[in-house]
Amino acid sequence: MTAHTSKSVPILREDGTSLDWRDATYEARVVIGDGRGTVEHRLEGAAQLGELVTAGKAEWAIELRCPATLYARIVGSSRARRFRLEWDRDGVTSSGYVIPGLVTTQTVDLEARGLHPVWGESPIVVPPGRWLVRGNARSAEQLGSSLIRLFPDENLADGQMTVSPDTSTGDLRFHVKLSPRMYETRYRDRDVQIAALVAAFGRIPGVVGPPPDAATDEGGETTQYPVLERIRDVLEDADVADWTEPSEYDPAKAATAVERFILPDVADENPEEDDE
Amino acid sequence: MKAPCPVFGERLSAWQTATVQTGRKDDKHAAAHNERAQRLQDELIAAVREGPQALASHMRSKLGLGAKDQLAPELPRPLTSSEYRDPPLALERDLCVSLLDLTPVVAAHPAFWTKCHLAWMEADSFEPPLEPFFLGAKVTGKMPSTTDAAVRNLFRRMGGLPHVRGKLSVLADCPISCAWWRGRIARLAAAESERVGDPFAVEDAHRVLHAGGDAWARLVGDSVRRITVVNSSRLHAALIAEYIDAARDKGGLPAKELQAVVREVATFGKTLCFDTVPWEEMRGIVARAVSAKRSAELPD
Repeated sequence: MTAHTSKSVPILREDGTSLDWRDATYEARVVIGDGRGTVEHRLEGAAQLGELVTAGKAEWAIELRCPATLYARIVGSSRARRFRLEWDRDGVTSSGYVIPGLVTTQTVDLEARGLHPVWGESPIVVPPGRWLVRGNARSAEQLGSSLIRLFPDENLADGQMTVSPDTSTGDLRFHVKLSPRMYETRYRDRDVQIAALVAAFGRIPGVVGPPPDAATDEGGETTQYPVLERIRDVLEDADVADWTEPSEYDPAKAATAVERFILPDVADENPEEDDE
Repeated sequence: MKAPCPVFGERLSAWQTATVQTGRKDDKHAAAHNERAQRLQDELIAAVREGPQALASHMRSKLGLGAKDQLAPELPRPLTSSEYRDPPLALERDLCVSLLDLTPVVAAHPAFWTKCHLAWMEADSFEPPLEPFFLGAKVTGKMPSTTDAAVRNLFRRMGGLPHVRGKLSVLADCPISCAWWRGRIARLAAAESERVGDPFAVEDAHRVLHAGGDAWARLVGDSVRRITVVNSSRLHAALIAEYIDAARDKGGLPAKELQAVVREVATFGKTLCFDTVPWEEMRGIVARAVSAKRSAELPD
């Protein structure tokens, strides 16, 4: 079978819109602080992509874009699935966002295994600098996208929201259900996102259980969730108490230490063009 | 240099919103708003005509500013109205030197540039009369036919009119801000060209970005609104490398061609990581986009 050079390459997308990989899924957990953060890439069902990384032919990467400052660049890359990000805080405003993924660092021959049959049986030659995996864009200020997922719920009255924990994946996530109109504006309405985050932080103690009593060593086991460990790192850096200190813990302060309410910029999604 | 406090930004936004007329037909309060706006516009234009000190005093009053702000950077020298509206390249370079300590986060704030303009007026950096600086049309300095258009020009030039023009305004409407951003992009692109082993000078890069008439506005317009992937320094470097000779030889850039090329190259951003794609390939993509655009415009 002859390898062929293709102008297009198979891409595995986090949002599931690409059919290139039959049974693969990708999810990124991104935790953002102030000019820094961590990302963890989770890949299943596409072993050869992981093999490319192991062989040094591709690496996990994350791109940061800030249109307001004409900024777009890779702010972290590694062969490890989890790594730290850092960027110039003076170069990026709160409107920046990150896009994680996997990019080739040399020319690779991508085999047909795992790919949709439309890609044929021959290996696909992928030049360097190609995204093979692409995650969803996340606001660089939106740390909560690692902790919360938003869903519409038609049973909710207009303007209502509910928050409930979900640990079915092995990590903790909160499902935030929004009334349909709130769900429609969820990406633009930061207050909704932050309110959901505050509510999620309020429920963390109930999910993880009480911390061990220091005097008696009694108390429930606290389950370790990777996302909470990453958030604790951020809170520790910010010198804000987390849920393991019940007398000090303030869910609103903790949530907004991680991600703040920001006075909204005036609308710029549909700017009115004025005449000279 | 620090960004102005959020309170000042809010006051500026509120004043601009109140002073600019609204044409929204679905706004039942438009007539009352526009009547108030007209009064505010008349006051503002009267202050412009009185001169820089009067205008600065008027703006300080409207924005609740007290003592003069000493933190604004100095301009290299007093400016005429024509060079303020459309700074020559040499002046742009001097402006960039004066503003060397500025950071992008601060420069992205319309309120920062407005505060600078207050300080510059109080330092007599603008030779009166002020109408051609702030109210008149960009190319001719001629007064617009309506006070609303004149006031919009003033707000745009002094830092931007974000409630109308969004994030684009500070990048494309304020002449001194534009000069700074062109200088910054030129520096980053030149550094990238050095990094990939195909260097060009910052001065040549700046000439390309400065040369295009409305090319800069078209470039940043797309960069902010539609195709944010084109803010890659490697892509900027490739575009500049492609147009260096044209900017030097012809003194201008084909603005529409540049915009079409940028849009074409941006389509590669779905699969290409511009930061890591090999330099030769990046140059090739840009060159083919330019060639395709020119071929499409050849007469049959």
